[in-house]
Amino acid sequence: MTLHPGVLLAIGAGILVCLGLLFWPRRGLISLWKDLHLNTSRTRMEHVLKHLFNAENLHRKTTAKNLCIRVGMGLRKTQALLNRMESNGLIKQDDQGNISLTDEGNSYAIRIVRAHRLWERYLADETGLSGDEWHQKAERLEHTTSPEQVEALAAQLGNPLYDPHGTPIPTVDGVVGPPQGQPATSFAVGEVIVVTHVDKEQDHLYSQIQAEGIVPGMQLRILETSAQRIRFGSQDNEHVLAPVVAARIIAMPLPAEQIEVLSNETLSSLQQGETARVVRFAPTCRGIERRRLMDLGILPGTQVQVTLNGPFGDPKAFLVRQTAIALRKELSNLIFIERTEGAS
Amino acid sequence: MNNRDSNAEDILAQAASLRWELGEKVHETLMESIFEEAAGIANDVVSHTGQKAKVWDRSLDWLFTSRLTGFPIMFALLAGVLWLTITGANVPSSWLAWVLLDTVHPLLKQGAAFIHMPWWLAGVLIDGMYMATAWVVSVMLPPMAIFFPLFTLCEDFGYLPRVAFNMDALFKKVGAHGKQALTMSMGYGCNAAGIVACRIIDSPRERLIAIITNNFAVCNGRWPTLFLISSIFIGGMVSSPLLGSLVSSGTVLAVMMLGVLFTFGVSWLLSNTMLRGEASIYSLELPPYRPPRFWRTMYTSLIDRTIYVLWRAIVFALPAGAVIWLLSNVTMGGETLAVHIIHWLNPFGVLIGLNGVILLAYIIAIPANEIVIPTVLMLTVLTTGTAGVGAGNGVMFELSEGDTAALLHAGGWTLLTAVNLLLFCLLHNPCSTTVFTIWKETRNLKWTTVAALLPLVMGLLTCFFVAQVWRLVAGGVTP
Repeated sequence: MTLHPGVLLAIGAGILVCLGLLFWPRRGLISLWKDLHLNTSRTRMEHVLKHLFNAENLHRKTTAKNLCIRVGMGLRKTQALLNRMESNGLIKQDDQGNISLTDEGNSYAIRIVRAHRLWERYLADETGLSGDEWHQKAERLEHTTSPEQVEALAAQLGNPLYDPHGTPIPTVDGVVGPPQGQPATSFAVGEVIVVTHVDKEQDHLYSQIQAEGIVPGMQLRILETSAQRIRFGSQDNEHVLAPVVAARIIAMPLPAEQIEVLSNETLSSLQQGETARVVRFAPTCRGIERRRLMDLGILPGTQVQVTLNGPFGDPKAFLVRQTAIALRKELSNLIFIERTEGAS
Repeated sequence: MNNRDSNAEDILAQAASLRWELGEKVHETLMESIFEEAAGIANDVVSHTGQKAKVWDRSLDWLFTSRLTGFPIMFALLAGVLWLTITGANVPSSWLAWVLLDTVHPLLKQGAAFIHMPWWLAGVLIDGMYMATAWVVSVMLPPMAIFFPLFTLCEDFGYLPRVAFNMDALFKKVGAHGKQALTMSMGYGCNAAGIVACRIIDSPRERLIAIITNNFAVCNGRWPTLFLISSIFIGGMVSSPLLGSLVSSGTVLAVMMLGVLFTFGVSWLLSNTMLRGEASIYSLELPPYRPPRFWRTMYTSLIDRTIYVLWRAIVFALPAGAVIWLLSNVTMGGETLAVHIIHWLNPFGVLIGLNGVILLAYIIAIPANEIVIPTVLMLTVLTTGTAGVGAGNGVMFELSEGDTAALLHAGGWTLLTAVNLLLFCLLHNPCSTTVFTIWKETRNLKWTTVAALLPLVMGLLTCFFVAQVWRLVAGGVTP
């Protein structure tokens, strides 16, 4: 049998394209099929429980209409799901159509929320996935993790208190602690805050914060708050943001005794031969990164000096405790410093 | 009793509430104070000398890492090491070949005849197993014994971390670690050694990338194939011998560079698909320079390498030798097994621009790539029935370049076959030693399978597409 090479070429290319369509990560048919498979009635029910739990924490009322979008079903199907949940004793519906959790429903919801936040924490600390993927991945994993697995995960992570967004992780007994930080709009003029988290969910707001160069770990003084604008200041910089935008910045107040100089300089800005003292790590420097830095002896209080610039400017080598250690810009951006004079 | 219980519960409840107050920084605060204390003690009792050494270190660092001098020094050193290995290995290699293949082998055969050993037993033991083992030792040992001590000297001196430092910006672009430049260079000596060296990469994702892509560095077992084929088919196209050798070295270099390109491409692909979720962290220690301990390094690496090569030859090449001999001597319906398999593989081989002999040789040579060329020659004689060449069925042999060329042309080889063999030599499954090492280093079936099959699939695809485009351009139709 003889085939023209052009035909063979076309067949080969065709097979490659087919394989690509099948196996392409996240968009291929196989992963789409897996997504579809995940959308069972139990997952939908668990999503409803989670939504109710969050809404009740914010003292918001929920009706069947609110839930339609959330579970991606029409009103009639949603109502049918809710009725089934009511007969299972998970929720209560009153005459106005307001839905609330029963005790049983509440503890079920807490279990799911705990699994979700623990998974987010795990993905943030122990994997290389980016921030926007933690939530999506945890959203799937929470439904397939047994309570025993959840507890094993918590033990492995050292029973963390907060998820990577600073939201408290409910304990096994269902205790929910205070959140780590509040919106930057909730502080008074003159207070000093440290940014713990920047909400990325609304792109146009996030890009404004990004343009101002505000990142987790920065210390800022509130200079002015009004309905029109909020003014922040650091040592040598001023940022002005609209309140809607500023509300996406989550921050904690800084105790008065911890306020030294509001230095927001990072290790990456240090030039050859210059010395500095490490003052803190950004909260986004977490998990394996943070542990590695500490293993290398880079901690708050440590003296560092730039000894060597890479041929392309990155990485840079730093002299830490008599040892030269090269770090990339991504990591040295997360280490806040205070310049010191002369040799260490 | 009851009282005690409620007390315990109170304490637990209080502890739980205190946890929220303490926050998550307890461990870090503890660690900070331990470090502070230790640093204080060290400051009091340790005194530092050696200002002179520091100045020396600084100037060396400048020399090795500045944009102007860093890269020329690096490439000159790599080229020098490779050149020393290739030219330096020729002498001991031919000496070992003379002893093991030309002297001991006939002696063993005579001995076997003297004690009336059955011909098939002598065949399996001496022509098969002994021959393959001896071949692997004579090809592999000398380059290993030169390449790795040189490498160790550079490492002892403290130069290698600077290479990783220089190359990092480049490797970072594809999601890999600068130290991969080192594991890759070691791969030019031996992929299994390169993969063991990946331990120096302390970031999980980058380490896996380096392990999986190490096979794209052409190891010394594959060099003879590259040199021979490019000199016969590519260099042979040019009439002047001087220009010819220049062209053929250029071809070998091109294949190596293609390997570097594949390393970067596949690293990028892996870091963006399969390995996206793996944790990644970068740090690199730059130790002070130290004068290398020359004789000690030479002695230990020579002993280490010899033991390693012998172990590999015995564990992997010995059975391969038996398989080769049996395949070419056991007959079925009047033809040897090898011929049956070659006929069966041939249509597929021709489709991807190779042939059945090459495919069978690569299957047999999975344990050791060193024996690809002698196996190809032996199998070609077996299938073409060329008289007066070779040493009998299942006995590997070597020929002069001219005779090899004549034999391969008789076997139906074209320029396309040669080009695709060069590509396939770069892109095929790692040898069984390497696969075994990957398994030992990762202890993960998935990554071992990926590392073994990914280059093979890429090689088959590349050969297939090159063959079709070649034929399309040449205007031919597949036979």
